[in-house]
Amino acid sequence: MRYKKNIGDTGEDLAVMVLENNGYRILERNFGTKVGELDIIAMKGGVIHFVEVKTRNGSICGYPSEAVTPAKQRHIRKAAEYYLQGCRIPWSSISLDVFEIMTDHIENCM
Amino acid sequence: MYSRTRSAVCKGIEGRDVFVETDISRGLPGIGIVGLASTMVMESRERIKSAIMNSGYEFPKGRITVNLTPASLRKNSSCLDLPIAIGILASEGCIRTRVAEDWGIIGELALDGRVLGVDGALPMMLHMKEAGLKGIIVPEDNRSDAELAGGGIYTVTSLRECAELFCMGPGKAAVFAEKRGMLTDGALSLAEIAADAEAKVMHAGKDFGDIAGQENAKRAVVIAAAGRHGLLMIGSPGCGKSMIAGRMGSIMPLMNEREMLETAIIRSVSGHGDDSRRLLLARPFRTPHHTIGRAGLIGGGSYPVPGEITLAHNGVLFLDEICEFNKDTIESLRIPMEEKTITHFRKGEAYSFPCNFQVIMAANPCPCGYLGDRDRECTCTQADLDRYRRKLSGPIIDRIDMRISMEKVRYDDLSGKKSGMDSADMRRQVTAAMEFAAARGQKVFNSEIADSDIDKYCRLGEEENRFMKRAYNAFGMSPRAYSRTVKVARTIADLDGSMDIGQAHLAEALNYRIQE
Repeated sequence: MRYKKNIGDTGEDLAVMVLENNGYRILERNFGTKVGELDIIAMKGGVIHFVEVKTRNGSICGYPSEAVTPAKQRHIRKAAEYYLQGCRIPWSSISLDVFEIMTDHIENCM
Repeated sequence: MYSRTRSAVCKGIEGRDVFVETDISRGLPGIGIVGLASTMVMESRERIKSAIMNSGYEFPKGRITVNLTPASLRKNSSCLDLPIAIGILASEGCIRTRVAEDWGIIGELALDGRVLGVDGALPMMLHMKEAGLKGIIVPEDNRSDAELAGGGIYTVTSLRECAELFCMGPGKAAVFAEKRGMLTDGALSLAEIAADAEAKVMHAGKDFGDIAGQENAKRAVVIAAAGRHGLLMIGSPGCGKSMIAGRMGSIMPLMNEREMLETAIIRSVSGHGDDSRRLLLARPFRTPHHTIGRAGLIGGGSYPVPGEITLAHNGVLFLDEICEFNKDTIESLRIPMEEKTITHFRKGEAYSFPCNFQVIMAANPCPCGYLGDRDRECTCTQADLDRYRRKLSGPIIDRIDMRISMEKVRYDDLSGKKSGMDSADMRRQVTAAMEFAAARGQKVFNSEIADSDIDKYCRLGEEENRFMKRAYNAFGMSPRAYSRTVKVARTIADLDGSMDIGQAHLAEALNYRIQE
């Protein structure tokens, strides 16, 4: 369990790094609300991006993005609405994104 | 990326074109299917995904949108699994495709990528053949249907095989498939099947020779079979009604090519497709149980499927214990019996099924079964009798050409077995009568003579006319009863080898109509 949690956290750190390098400004991380949690909230060019980070080791369980089920999407949308109500930053539009990270940890292969 | 493949579905018993458009765009992975797809089609998403991955292809990443056109046609068939899967592979670029419109594909997928047979393959194939496609790919399981539809149809066992064929294009594919035995032969040799079918029905283990006595009933059955007349048998329990009906198959004439195709299409749609080619020419014989409901009998469902009357198309519908049937169920036969077709309406669409069946009914004379019996006393009250008889209304009775009362066989007849007619004799009579009718220049069964043709085929002499006039008035016959009696008389005359209908023929025909 600890291992899995670590994978997720590392994935999010990685995602933040990539986003920052690409000119996104990180507004929030792990923004928790009572309706759901948003992994990363970032901004670029007047657009607020709500980013769900999915990290997977290997592809045996399918693509990481497939794990974003309709129920999960609903939670993210609710949480995003919640955030926007208290948001003071002017924005032109919003975007709900999925950030996929695939690692490949092959055990005992040599 | 976009691709388009071609397939078909069944609407009722007719094949209809369906085009499968597939588009893969950026977005969360998933397949969305639009175009009036039923639950069965929606579930194909899971099958397709597993089948593609287990066939060694990569499942595309991204939002897959599948559109089934024409959008107005309701689609309810697992046969779209394969064309959708091929469409996805083509969109992804996994398989190289030229314009896909020249190929028609049908087939259901298993999770491991095998292609499974589908119901209704025959009408779909015939439809695609008509459209003049370069290649038609169907499941190997549907090979017998494919052979009926004609040569040049590819049969496949797996998604991979289908994809490979598809990539090759018509020219190369034909050579490749020929080598691996994937192409069907041309049309079946009818003469060969006919000989087979003849042998099969004659050796089905049911022969009229098994029935001792009951010669008058056998005579009636010969007439019924030769002219395809409806028959109602009334008799006490155990006197042999069901035995007689069960042996109808052994004396009925074989179907011609058109009838065979019609019947094979109905069998294909209802999932009663039979692998043995031999049965193709034997007329269907349906014996629904008396608890059957209206939808089961005349067809129905939200995507209408044929009922028993349609399954009995070109054959016999035997309703045993007719008085035990629900009254509404029996009454629903009224129009199909006359029209020989039934039309269902669902969600703004009409579905027509042919139902040219010969009805044979059997009933006891009363609820206890022994009314009019020589040895046993009937224990029914008048009220019981009335209730029982109400089951068979006038309109239904009027539509049945022949009625016979049967009695128990006497012991002497029973022991003196094999004295009566057997199936071979009866079959000879039936065939001779039909040949005679054909020689008269008539192409249809006597019961199917159109009203406008009655004067042509069933002309009565002066004396016969007088005879019928007396009968018409004396028995209070309806015009329909009149014309049906004359048609039965025509059959009797044919059995006699007589060009003209004589008084004796009319009298025998009347005897079958006028029963207490």
